[in-house]
Amino acid sequence: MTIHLKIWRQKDSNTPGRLVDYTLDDVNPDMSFLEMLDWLNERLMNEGKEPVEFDHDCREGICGSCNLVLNGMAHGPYEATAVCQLHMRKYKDGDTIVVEPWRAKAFPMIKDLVVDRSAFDRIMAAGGYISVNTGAPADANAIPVDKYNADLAFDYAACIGCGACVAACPNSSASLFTGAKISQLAHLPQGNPERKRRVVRMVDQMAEEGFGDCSNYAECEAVCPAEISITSIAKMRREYFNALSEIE
Amino acid sequence: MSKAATFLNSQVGRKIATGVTGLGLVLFIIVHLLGNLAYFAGPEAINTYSYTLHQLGPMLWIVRLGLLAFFVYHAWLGLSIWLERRRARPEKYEVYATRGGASRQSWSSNSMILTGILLLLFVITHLNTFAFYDFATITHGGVEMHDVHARLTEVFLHPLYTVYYVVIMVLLGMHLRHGVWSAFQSLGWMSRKTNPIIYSIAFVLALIIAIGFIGLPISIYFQLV
Amino acid sequence: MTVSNNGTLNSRVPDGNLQDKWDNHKNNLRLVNPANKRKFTVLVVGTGLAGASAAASLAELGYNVKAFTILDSPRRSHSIAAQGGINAAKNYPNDGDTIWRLFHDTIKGGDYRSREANVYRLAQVSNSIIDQCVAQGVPFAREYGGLLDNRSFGGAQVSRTFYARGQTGQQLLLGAYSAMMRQVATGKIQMFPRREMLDLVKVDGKAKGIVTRNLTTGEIERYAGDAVLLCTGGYGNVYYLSTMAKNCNATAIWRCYKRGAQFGNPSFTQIHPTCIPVSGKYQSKLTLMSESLRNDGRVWVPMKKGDNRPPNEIPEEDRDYYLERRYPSFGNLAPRDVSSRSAKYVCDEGRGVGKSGLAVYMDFADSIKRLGADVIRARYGNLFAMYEKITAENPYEVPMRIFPAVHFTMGGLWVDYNLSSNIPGLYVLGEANFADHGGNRLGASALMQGLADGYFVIPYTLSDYLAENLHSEKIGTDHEAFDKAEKETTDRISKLLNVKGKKTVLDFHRELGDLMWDNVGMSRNRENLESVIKKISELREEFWKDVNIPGENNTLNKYLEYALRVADYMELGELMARDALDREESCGGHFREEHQTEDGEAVRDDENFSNVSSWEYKGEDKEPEKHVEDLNFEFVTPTQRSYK
Ligand SMILES: Cc1cc2nc3c(=O)[nH]c(=O)nc-3n(C[C@H](O)[C@H](O)[C@H](O)COP(=O)(O)OP(=O)(O)OC[C@H]3O[C@@H](n4cnc5c(N)ncnc54)[C@H](O)[C@@H]3O)c2cc1C
Ligand code: HEM
Ligand code: FES
Repeated sequence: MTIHLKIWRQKDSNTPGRLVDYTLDDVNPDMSFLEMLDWLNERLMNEGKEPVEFDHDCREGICGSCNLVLNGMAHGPYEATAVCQLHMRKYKDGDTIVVEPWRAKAFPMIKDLVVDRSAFDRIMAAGGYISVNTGAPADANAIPVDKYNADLAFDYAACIGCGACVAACPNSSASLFTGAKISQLAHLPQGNPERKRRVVRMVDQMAEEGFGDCSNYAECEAVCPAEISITSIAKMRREYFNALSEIE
Repeated sequence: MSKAATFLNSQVGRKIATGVTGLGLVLFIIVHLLGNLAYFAGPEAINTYSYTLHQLGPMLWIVRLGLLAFFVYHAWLGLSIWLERRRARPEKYEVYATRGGASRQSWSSNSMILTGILLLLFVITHLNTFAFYDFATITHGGVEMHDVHARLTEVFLHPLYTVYYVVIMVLLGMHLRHGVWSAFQSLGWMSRKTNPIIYSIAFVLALIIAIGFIGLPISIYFQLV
Repeated sequence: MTVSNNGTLNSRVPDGNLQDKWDNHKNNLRLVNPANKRKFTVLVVGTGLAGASAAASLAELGYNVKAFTILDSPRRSHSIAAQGGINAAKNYPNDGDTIWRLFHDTIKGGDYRSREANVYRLAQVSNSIIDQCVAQGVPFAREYGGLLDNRSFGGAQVSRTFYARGQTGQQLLLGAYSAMMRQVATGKIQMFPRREMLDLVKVDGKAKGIVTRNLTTGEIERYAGDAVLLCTGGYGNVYYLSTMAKNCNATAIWRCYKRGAQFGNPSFTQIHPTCIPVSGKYQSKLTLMSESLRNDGRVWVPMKKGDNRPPNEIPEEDRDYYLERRYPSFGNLAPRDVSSRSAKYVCDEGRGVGKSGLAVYMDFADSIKRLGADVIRARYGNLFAMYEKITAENPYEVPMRIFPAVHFTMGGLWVDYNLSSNIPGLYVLGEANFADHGGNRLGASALMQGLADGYFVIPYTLSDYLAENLHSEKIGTDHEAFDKAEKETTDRISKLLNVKGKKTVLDFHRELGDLMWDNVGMSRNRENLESVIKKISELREEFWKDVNIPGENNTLNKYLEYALRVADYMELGELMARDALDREESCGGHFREEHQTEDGEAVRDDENFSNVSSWEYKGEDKEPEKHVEDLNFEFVTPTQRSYK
């Protein structure tokens, strides 16, 4: 099949970027989207041109490396699907696809479709952990966790940290990412003593990094490949409210 | 900074405040709407209602100032959230689209700032038209009071003002279609189960409020009452 | 080829009873006092399960840690993709599991090609791993009573596998990552993402630093430290197609090999039986379908060659459930190496299915009939959905098509009981070392090993080395050894960029992959191995003459990164073939056609090969030298594995 691509090319953050047109006329419907980009890159290199840079690693939707906005939608048009799991058979012969990077002030441009998402690591470093040193904690079964809360904690823990929530949010808010971690830990008895400190610090860091506020558009939930619910954002707000005593 | 200031300046605190002020204004609006309904019961009912409110004296002023504070604060929050959004994405997408599904992007949520600002402008003119108006007086049951009924009738017989008012009430409905649901989410009163329920309730409530407010001018204009 | 046992390979296994070795050893290891710990800098290369857990644990102890990853965040490492679970001998289900049994299953599963003492220690610390992870907030599956759930995995007869839906690796890694981030916040860990280690710096024979390339700017950077921990994962991508993440590579360990670290059992590769088959030339990687599927899926191919009917139209009597037929007692749960080879045989006979003929069916129809589609959905829903996404076929209705794929490398840098390579100060953890899995890894034991190494072994054994080096001179990055390593690295990069040939890196990698898969894959023989060694070295020559690398060095340039890795695969592939050729026996994943029983089962040669082959680099055009470490089985008796 034939696919027309308009891909964002940008040398670095100091040079303005633009969309460049490419046409591939031998796309196999069984290719994944990233395999099609590999294919394009092969072509470009054979023509002596520079290939398109994009991030990827696992190519099975779990590592959160891949990050492309296709026709305005983070990870493309299908729910619960990271762009590495999107196959070309979902497109029609002759379709045009505009490919852009995640755009947000907090995700500075590196090159082409690659951006710097280390802001997420800093939010995690601000409190996304339970303070327990390696050593000899109590037996794993010493603290039972009811299945309801354990399952909820898992739902939130499933976040792959790709940043699609930020990319898709009209405000570039990182609330879904931050809320997911806070909610995961809030549903577990472990780490309860630092619960308040955690939410205050992570929320502060989120603002510090330059992410926008959340206006409850819920676009984040719609694009999340791990299907994290915005209930986590509601939970984060409750947690924050309950942490008033920790606020300085 | 004090605790409260830190809280209110945080991203979460700001949203909680937007929600609280927003819901506060919604409550006021509901009361206001019920008050408007007194018009249908005839001049005496609505004028007495207005008179009773004015008898509250200092209480009335406290409520008025509170409302004003809520309103101004709400508007300021809305504006600052919107400005923040512009800062957070300096380079726009060439193409942007919503994925649908769980997304709550809609004509309503995407125009909050616009509907909000128009509401702000409206409220200023609205206060001028009614609150600060030098009403004629009328006597009901031996008590002299403002003839609110006459003023309302006068105003809403003007086609332009009626159209303006109706349009604004549609915008209010739009603001609340997303706003009411959003406030619950902002205050953390949301779960996976209640999410769609509240979203539907918000729609119904927005509809009732909009229709309720539109009912009065339309009835007056077409002289249905 | 020389074979020597000249004393370079001291496994440092402590004396005493198997059960007491680790405790005794810990009692004897030297400690570094808290005030001195902060004088030491430890370089941790790789932040998968092994690296993240080591970095966090060492930082907690007070060492200064610098951690490096090629990815943009430590949270993304390859470990994240592990689906099935992690083993531990908790015996929560009361089904008779013990540390001994876990040890015994693991060493037997490895076909008796691993060290008793290491494997026993692994089983011993397995329980602490679960405790540690639960304390970190890892949301393992639980029962309604609130206690942890276990499942049986990879054919084990007890339920000892802890899991977090189909995302165990992700949850464990995020746990270790969060522990790491906590130390980043305290300043004890300095994180260097998008950095690739390209060389090891040795001073007076000891590891003292590394040279990295900053993948965003192309800058070559120097880092000095008192010890270097390699946690850089496996090298399955030598085969081009594998279930490994795209950025997994052998560069770090290969560069260390070229600096003198020995490479243990390079040819030991695990080929996993249940992956989604290749669909075309454009295919960039293979996707694993968790082994747990084999609990309810029945594997079959048509009885007759060239039976092209759709699977649902092939009647029972025309189907060959070959695993159930050949291995009646284990059936569809036969170990990975055995199942993979069986699939290869039936495909070689021309009975494979699908367009390419390189696939077998895994059929859930019977289970769906027996248990209902809902039960199957509850068990495997996410896997079925993933399968459907990739293949556009619905496994509830048509059988899955599966084929074996490269999945794990048991080989790796040789380490002693302390996880130290033969270069003092260079430690190797996780999949990057050769240690605990012998000839074949059991399901759910790699996660266990990575975390055991990082959380519970290295903090002890490293302190012993550092204590010994408390007074040795600190090396700065201006030392001439750094100059030399940096120069060699920049030279290698410019040489590559200056080839300006015609073939892309991918072309070369595909070609290498085909050579490896066909000759050093599931089934190997002398003739092919001998010829492939020649072919690889020809391909390598061609690579350095004709590779086309676009762009420049001073920006993000993934094809340059890739070329550097493929250049190393070309050399490693040859060593793998050499090792496979040298090992004249069949054991675990290493199957030599010359050494099989009449009905095609592997035949081990314990007389001559109850040992580790450890290869030493001797120079650019010289053959490597083989050393052996004899494996002494004091506590278990190697038997022929039988799954009949
Ligand atoms: C699909 C799949 C499923 C699996 N399922 C299971 C399972 O259910 N149970 C189980 O026990 N095991 C499983 N395994 C195996 C297991 O996941 C891995 O063996 C294990 O996670 C390896 O961990 P590691 O820390 O050693 O390496 P990795 O996780 O591979 O980490 C390597 C790290 O090193 C970095 N790195 C590499 N090279 C360099 C360099 N040159 N410079 C700097 N950094 C570098 C990488 O960026 C990365 O951070 C599975 C494997 C696969 C492929
Ligand atoms: C009649 C008066 C008003 C009512 C009843 C009202 C009601 C609400 C409610 C209930 C919300 C949801 C709060 C939340 O998301 O947490 C909201 C949001 C908002 N309002 Fe109003 N509002 C009014 C006036 C205004 C005015 C005058 C402005 C602005 C100038 C404004 C701007 C906004 C904006 C921008 C939001 C979205 C906030 C966000 O993006 O998160 N509103 N409003
Ligand atoms: S590449 Fe890992 S999630 Fe897409």
